[in-house]
Amino acid sequence: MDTDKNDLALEMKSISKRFPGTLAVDSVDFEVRPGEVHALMGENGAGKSTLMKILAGSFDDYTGDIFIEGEKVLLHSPFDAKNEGVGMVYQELSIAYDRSVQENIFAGAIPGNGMFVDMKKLREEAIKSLARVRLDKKVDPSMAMKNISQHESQLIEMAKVLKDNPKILVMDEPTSALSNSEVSMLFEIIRDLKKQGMAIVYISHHLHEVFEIADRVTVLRDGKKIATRDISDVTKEKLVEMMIGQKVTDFYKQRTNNPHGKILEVRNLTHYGFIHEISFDLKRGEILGVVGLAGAGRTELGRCLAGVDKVDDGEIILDGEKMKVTSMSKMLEKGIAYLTEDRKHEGLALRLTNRENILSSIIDRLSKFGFYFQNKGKGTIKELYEKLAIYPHDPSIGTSNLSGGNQQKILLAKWLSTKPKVLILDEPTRGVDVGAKKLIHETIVKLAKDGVAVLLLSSDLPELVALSDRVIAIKQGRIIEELTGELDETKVLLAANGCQRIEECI
Amino acid sequence: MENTITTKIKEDGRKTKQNSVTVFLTRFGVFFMIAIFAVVGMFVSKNFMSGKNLLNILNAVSYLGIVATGISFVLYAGQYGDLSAPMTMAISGVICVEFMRYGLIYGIIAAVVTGAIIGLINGFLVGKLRTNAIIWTLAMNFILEGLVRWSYKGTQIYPDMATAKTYQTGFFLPLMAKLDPNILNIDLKTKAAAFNGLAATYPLGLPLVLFVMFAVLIVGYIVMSKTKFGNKLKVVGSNYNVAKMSGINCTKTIIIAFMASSICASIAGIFLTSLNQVGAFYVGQGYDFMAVTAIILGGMSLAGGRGSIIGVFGGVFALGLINNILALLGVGTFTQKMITGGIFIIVVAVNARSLRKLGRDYA
Repeated sequence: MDTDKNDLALEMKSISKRFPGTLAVDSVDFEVRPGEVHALMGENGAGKSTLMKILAGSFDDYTGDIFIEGEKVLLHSPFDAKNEGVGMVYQELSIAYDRSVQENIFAGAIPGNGMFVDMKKLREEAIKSLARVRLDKKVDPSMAMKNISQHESQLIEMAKVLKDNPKILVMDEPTSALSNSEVSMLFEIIRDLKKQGMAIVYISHHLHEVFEIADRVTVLRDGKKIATRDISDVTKEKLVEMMIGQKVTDFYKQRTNNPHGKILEVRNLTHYGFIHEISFDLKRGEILGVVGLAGAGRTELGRCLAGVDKVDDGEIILDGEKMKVTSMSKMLEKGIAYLTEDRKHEGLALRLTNRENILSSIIDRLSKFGFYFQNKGKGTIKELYEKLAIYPHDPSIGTSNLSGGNQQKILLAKWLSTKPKVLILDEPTRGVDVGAKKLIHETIVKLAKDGVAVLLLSSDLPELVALSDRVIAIKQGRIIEELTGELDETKVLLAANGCQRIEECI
Repeated sequence: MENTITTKIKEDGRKTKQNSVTVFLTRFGVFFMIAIFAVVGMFVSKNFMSGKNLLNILNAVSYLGIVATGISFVLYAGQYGDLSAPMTMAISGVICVEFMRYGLIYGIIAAVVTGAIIGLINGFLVGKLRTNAIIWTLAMNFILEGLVRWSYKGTQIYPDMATAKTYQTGFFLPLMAKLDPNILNIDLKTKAAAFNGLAATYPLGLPLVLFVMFAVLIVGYIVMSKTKFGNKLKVVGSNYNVAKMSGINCTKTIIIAFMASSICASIAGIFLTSLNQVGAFYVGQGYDFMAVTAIILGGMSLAGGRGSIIGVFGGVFALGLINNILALLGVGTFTQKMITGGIFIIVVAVNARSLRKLGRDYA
C-alpha cells in the first residue's frame, strides 16, 4: 500500500465495539480508497455489520479513530455520519410505499419555497438522481412506490442515498433479492460510481460477485481483521479459508453419535412462497444441520414444523403419528420445541425473571385444575441451571440483567424444560461469547446422546460442521442438496450457494 | 473450568442493578403514600383517623375497587385500559333493573352475562384482530351509550316504577310485555326494595359492597398470581410475541382478561345502580379514568406484566384518602376532579420515565 494516507476516502483505525458479553469488533483497521470497490467479507457474527454500523453512526461508544478524506471525524449519530459523507444502502429498504418515487428519494429534504413544496424542482432533482441509477428512462418520479418492482425499489433506495453525494457508499448484501441480469445491471451502476471517484464498501456472502466487482477485499473473523488483499492476489479457496479460519477443536470430532430409530418424518412440507416440498427424516440422537443463505427458508421451515406458521401441504409424522399442525402449543405437547432466532423479540420476555422465562413454556404442565404451581418447576430449574452453568445462579433475577450468553442459555433452558423429542434450534449461538457458545454446543451434543433429535438451523458454518451428522442445504425454499459423511466448511458453504465446486460459483 | 467461563462473562459495562429504593417505591410506593396522606389527614381533621371516617373512605371507593380490579387484568395484559367500563356499568345496571322483576338473582345473572358478552367482544377485537385497545374500547363505550339512550329513548329506568309506557322502551321490557301480558301486575315494591337494598345492606354492620370489593380483590389476587391463566397473562403482557412463540394462546388469554374487566364492571354497575336507585346511561361515568389512575398509582406498569392486585387496592385506597382529605378541607367536586387528573398525569409521567430508564428492560 504505497498510497499517501491523505488519499484515502476512509480510514478506520483500531476500531473496537463491545456488546454485553462479547467484543463484536476488536481493534480493526479498515481503509477504502476513492474510486475503489472494497469488499468486506466474513461469516455471520464476524463483525461486518457492526463495523459498518459504527461507520453509519449507530453507536456512540465505539473506540478508535475514523478519518474521512484524512480528517478525523466523530460518528456518534446517523446524522453525523450522513453529514460526513457516509451513505448506507441496507438490505431492508426504508421506503414509504404509499408515497411517490420523488417523495421517497427526497424524504426529509423535500425542496420548497417557504411552506410550499417546489414540485418542479422536486421532479427535476428526482430525475437527476434516478439517472445515477439508470432508472430515469424507466421510472416516472411521480409514480407511487407501491407500483415499483422490488429490484427497482432497491435502486431507488440507492438513488435516495446517492442524492446526498456521499463520499463513501456502503452496500450491505445488495444482491440478495436480485436476479442475475439485475445483478449485472447493478454492477454497471457501481462501475459508474467508481469512475466518479466514489469509495464503495461492498458486503456480500457471494464469492463470485466479490471477484467480479471488488478491487480489494478485507476479511473479518470473530471481530478481528484477518487481512486485506488485492482481489487479484487471492484465490477463491484462499478467501474461503480466510473466512473460516482454523478447524474447530477436536472435542466435537470425538463425538460418538448413535442415531437410532426414526422419530420425525417430513414429507413434501410446503408453505407457499416460503418453503416447497421439503422432505427429510430425522432419527433419535441425530443432529441434522440445515444451511442456506439469508432468506432461503431456514427459519420458515422451523416455524412450520413448530406449528407457528400454517402448513399448506405435506405431512409431519412424529414418532409414527401423523400430526395435524394446528397450534404451537399442540406441537409442544407432542414434543417438538422450537428455539427462535430472535431472542429479544420472540425468545425471552426480558422484563420477567429467569425463572418465569424458563417456565413460560410449561405453564400448562405445572398447572392442575387451573391453578399454577411454580414450585413444581423448582427441580427442573435447578437441574438446568447446573447443566448450563447459568450465571448468576439466582433464578429470581430479571433476565434483562444477564449477559447475552447467559440470556441465550436461559432461552435454551426454556425449551429444554419442555423435554422435547425433537428440538429445533434456530441460530442457537448467535451473538454470544465464546464460552457460552462452547457450553451450548456441549449441551446440544449431550442432548443428542440422550436421544433427542436436533434440527440445527444455523448460518455459523463451523458450528454446523462440528455438530451435524448430516447437513441439508436449502435455497429458495427447496432442498437442493444433502451432505453426508465427512463435512467441511467449504463443502457446506458451496452447498448453501447451490454449487458443488468453487468454479461453479464464480 | 466452567467457573472460568462464567466469571469471564460477568464483565459488562452497563449498570444492571436497579436502585433498590426505586424498586421498593415502584412496588410498594403507594403504601408509603398512604402513610403520608394519613399523617396529612390527621392534621386536617381530628376525626380523620376515626373508624367511622376510614370506613366511609373504604365504602366510597368500593365501587372503584371492583372496577379497578377488573381493569387491572387488561393493563396486566399490556393493553393500557378498558374505556368501555363506564357504559358496561350503566348497561349492566339497566339490564339488572329490567330482569329483577322476575327476582333479584335473575337480574344479577342477566347483568353479569351482559358484561361477559361485552368483554368477549372487546377481547376478540383486541386479542384476535389486534386492534388498539384504547381506541376500540372507547368506540365500544360510545356504541353502548348509543344503545342505552336509543332503546330508552332518553328516559331512565326506576326499579320501583313501571307503567304500561315503561314497557314500550328498554332492551327486554317490550319483549317481556309481549310474552307475559300480566307483567304489569308483578309486585314491584318488594322486588325494587330487594334491588335497592343491595347498596343499603349492612351485614355485620358494614356495607355489603365493601364485602363484595374485598371478595373481588381476593379472587382477583388469586387469579392473577396463582392460576394458570394469570401466569400466562403475565407472559403475554410482558411480551406478546414471546408468549406466542412459547405456545401460549394469546388470543384466548386476552379475551379472558377483557371478560374479567367487563364482569367486574358489571358487578360494580349493579351496586351503583342500586345506590342511585335508577338505571341510566350516566351511571359509572369517570370510573374508567379513576380506575386506571388507581391501578398505575398502585405500581402496575402501563406496559403490562407488572404489578399486583395488592398494589391496585393501595391505589384505590390512596385515591379515596385524597378525595376524603380534599372534602374535609372543603374543596369542591370540580376541584377534586382537577386534582385527580393532575395526579394521573404525574403518575403516568413517572411510570413512563421509569420505563424509559429501563429501556433495554422494555425491549
